[in-house]
Amino acid sequence: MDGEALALSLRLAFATSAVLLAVSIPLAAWITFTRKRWVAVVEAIVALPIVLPPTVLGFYLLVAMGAQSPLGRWWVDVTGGPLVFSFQGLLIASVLSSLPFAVQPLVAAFSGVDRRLLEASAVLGRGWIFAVFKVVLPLSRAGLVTALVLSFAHTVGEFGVVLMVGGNIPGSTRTLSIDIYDSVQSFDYAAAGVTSVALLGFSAVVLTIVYSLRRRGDRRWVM
Amino acid sequence: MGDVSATLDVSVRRHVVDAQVSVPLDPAKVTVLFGPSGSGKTTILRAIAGLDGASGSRIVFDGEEWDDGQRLRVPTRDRRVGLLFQDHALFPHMSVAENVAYGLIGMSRAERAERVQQSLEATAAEHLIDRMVNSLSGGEAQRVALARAIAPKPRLLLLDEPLSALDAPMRSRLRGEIRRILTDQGIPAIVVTHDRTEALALADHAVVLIEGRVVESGPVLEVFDRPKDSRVVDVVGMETALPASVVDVVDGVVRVTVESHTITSAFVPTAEGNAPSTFVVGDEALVCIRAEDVSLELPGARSRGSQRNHLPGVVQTVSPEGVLVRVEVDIGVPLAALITRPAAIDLDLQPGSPVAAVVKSTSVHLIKR
Repeated sequence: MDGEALALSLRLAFATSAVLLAVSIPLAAWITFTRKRWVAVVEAIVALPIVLPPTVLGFYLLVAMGAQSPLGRWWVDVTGGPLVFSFQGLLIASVLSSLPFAVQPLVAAFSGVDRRLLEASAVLGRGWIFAVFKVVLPLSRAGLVTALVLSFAHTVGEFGVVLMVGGNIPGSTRTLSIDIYDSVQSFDYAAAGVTSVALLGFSAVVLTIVYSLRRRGDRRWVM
Repeated sequence: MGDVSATLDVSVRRHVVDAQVSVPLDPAKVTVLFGPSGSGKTTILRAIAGLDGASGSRIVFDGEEWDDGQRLRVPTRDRRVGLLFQDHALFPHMSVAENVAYGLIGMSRAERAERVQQSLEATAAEHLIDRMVNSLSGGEAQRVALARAIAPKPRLLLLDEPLSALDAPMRSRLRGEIRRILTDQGIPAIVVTHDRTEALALADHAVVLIEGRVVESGPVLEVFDRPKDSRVVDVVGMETALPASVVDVVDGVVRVTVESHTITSAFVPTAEGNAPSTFVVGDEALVCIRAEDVSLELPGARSRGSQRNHLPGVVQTVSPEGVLVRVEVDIGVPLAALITRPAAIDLDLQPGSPVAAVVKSTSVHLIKR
């Protein structure tokens, strides 16, 4: 197994999970608690990566981050290098493609929080940010862990978007799944097999953790 | 708040509710919003707290506009009201102390601890301070919830069916205590309830709602004992309401006929409205009698007493009700009596027994039809 690819996959997964945590908590809170009708549109957009072929998402991201795009040009101005085929570009792509895996478990968990607790919080003079941190998140711990684990695992296993946006640059964009693809292309089935078994085991362990957490849920707090 | 003329004026138009309510904001004054389920009481309470978004309500608290009916102006968190939820809504992942401290904003740690202690003492729950809320009984949880509501010193307390989630013994114990706590705190309060006993025990002022409309309001005793509106008679628990016509009015004493009986009614008028003198011969009236004001005696045993109304009839049903016994008597029309268990045994009341229902004329309340 390619150690460099493993290290990159882990680095990407950690970074993606961290960014997703920061982005999806407010997003999920807004989706859960807003009274705006167009929330359905936002939910649909968040869920798109689940149904779209990764190549389609990858294609649009490639165009949006390419040297011709405003974002790509701005990036070149600021950093001197291109956004596509870089780790940073890969991170942005991973965050977007894993977004539903973080947001949906959080929305499910937040929806399970008794609305009257939020009303009690408001009556007691507290704003919604305070309520999210003091009431909603502590009562959604299982959902929070599920969101983190799923976005981490999904990033480790991501292939299509990574290939489209990141290409195959060792140490920079060549992740484990690309490494497997590469090994197969060069008929090195033994190397592909080792890496595949590792990913298979990893995924099984992660899902077992998620389902056992979900089974326990937050029932301790149900009154 | 010290201003005796201060009021909370609420006008709610939402779903089936279309009600205008004016609540006095004297310190320690308790107003009850009373009515059957679905009459809109909770809708009004939630509008006052600002919990339902743009509610089509106009709310003015002591001259301060909270809601102009167009959009929510003052958000809930800035209204400084305390709300006691029906099933307390304590934060399940926090301790009692953390719950009570939740609304204490801008205080030092020491001040907060002191205020938590004071609030729990006020509701006789200081011994629960270190407990987790999911280990509390229903009554304990309600005390803690009340402490949490009063801790930030709200300008107005709202209590939504505060006792309905409790079992009967706990309910009667807390009933008197809540009244004492509300009085001690000196905060005006609005209590929503459909329970007559609760309304009478807690409130000074009553607003009766039926199907989203305010049908009567005034001092609680007056509303419950001398309702002016025939629709209120039923909801305030006057079991007997019989159609009658006025045959005689002499010196404030009104005599009416119900079926073959003549019933005498007399009372000292307490407010404008249905003073007996406003009745004239030929008026159609509703005779309202509380079951607890009806006593029973065996026929022929008639004593020479001051009671004016002796109504012979036949016992229909005898059903125990707590320490009392409810007896339905057919006097040509149904009449309910509530008597003690020993009295029922003494009179040997069985369905079919002949009895006479005795009612003082001051216990007969007349409403114009």
